[in-house]
Amino acid sequence: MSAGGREGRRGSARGIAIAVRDLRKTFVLHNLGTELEALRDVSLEVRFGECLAVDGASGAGKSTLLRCLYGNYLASGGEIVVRGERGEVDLATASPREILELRVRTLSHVSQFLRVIPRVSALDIVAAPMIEQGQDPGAARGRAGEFLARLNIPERLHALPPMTFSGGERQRVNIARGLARRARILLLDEPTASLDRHNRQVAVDLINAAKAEGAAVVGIFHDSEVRDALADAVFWLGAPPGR
Amino acid sequence: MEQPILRVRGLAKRLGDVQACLDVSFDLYPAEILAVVGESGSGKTTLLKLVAGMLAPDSGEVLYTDAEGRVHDIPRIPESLRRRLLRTELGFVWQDPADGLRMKISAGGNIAERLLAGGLRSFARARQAAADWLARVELPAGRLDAPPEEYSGGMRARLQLAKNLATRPRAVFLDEPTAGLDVSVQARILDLVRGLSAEFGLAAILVTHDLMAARLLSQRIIVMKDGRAVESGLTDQVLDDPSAPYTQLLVSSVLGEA
Repeated sequence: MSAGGREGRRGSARGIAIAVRDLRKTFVLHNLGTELEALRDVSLEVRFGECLAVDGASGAGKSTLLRCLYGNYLASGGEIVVRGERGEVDLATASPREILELRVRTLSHVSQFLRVIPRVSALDIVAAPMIEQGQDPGAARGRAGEFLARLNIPERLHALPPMTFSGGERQRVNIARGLARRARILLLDEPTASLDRHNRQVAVDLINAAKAEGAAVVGIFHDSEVRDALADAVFWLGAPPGR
Repeated sequence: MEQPILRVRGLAKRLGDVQACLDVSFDLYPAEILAVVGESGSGKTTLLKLVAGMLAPDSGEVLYTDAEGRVHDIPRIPESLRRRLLRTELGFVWQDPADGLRMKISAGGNIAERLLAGGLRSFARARQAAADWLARVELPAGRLDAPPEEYSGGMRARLQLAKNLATRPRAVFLDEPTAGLDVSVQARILDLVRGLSAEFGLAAILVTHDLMAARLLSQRIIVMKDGRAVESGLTDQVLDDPSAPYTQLLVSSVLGEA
């Protein structure tokens, strides 16, 4: 719940992608007449080209923190300063349109579950964020197809809406969508949770490639192998184990 | 940043004893879909009619910037100009398609009429465009000459949408466009509006009680209750992290995930 700290290899001399200062998130549940404090005094920094793993016990607020970094949950206090293409934006006070612009160009959030849209094919789900960035639709679909293929989604499935896909296939479509667009900041909520060993390694390789291109990564990784392969540092929510 | 095409400021309207709309303000940008949600009687359809100039507000402004950059205060412009805008640059999709269609003239005629009113001269080209739009909303080409009174509800809804979109409007006002339709027809309509918004910058105000439709289609949302906007913001943020008591109730009342 309260902020722990971070430990691990210090990042490079690259610029700061996200700076969180004294973040607080409290859910006020009006019909139950109660409040839930999910995050308190959270401060952290992530640099471009660096991966920060968020860890902590179940219920410590890991997903809540990631959602705050995407503007999906509104901060109750503190600052979340994100380095966008047009300068710094504080998600705690930004207008909806400023956050939308950050999501087009800068922020990519990969959740555990793909939100499927009726009648939209897997290929178009992956290509849509790139088309929204203004990329040529043909080129966007080409890159979408490459990412789906790398994640072992057979080509005959690309034209189908993922309604009927398995959990693992949906998650791979989700990873392709989140990574193909070349976002500068990746927010990953257990991206490899339902993947087999081989596809987990493909996902790790793709995320590391994005890092090498300068993307900042903040992720929740339950799988310690995945975390060790990606993370430069760990941010603990609540007390780290063994202290 | 881009300029809004619509600026709504301080709209208010009493209908009899009811304050149907009070102090509602928002901007609408090109290629943006804004959802207005709330229960029946919350004032969302009243708001849409005020914005489209179909009801006169007691106070407030609706400033529309047209394709040439001229600004019109919709409630205060001459009726003839307002009608012309609604046939060309703007569109209004009624909850009951019978209100937005001529039920006894052919489907092709319904679409062609709007195209001809919008300045197209050639009837042959209007007919061809009507056939193209029928295909886009996935209505069978063979129904071009049938009047909407012979159509099913779902087909009428799609025809009304085609009619409004045929002139490539800059913004459309949608009043419960998916209410009462089969899920597959709902998906077609939502898909079409999303595609046109991405493809040529269509802006839309979507009035709906369907939070799932709002989530799939809109970037921003306004939650209305008793004529007031009780909460507004990013659609996913408002639906996933609602702060107003009424929004929390609305979101938690949905069966399954919205």
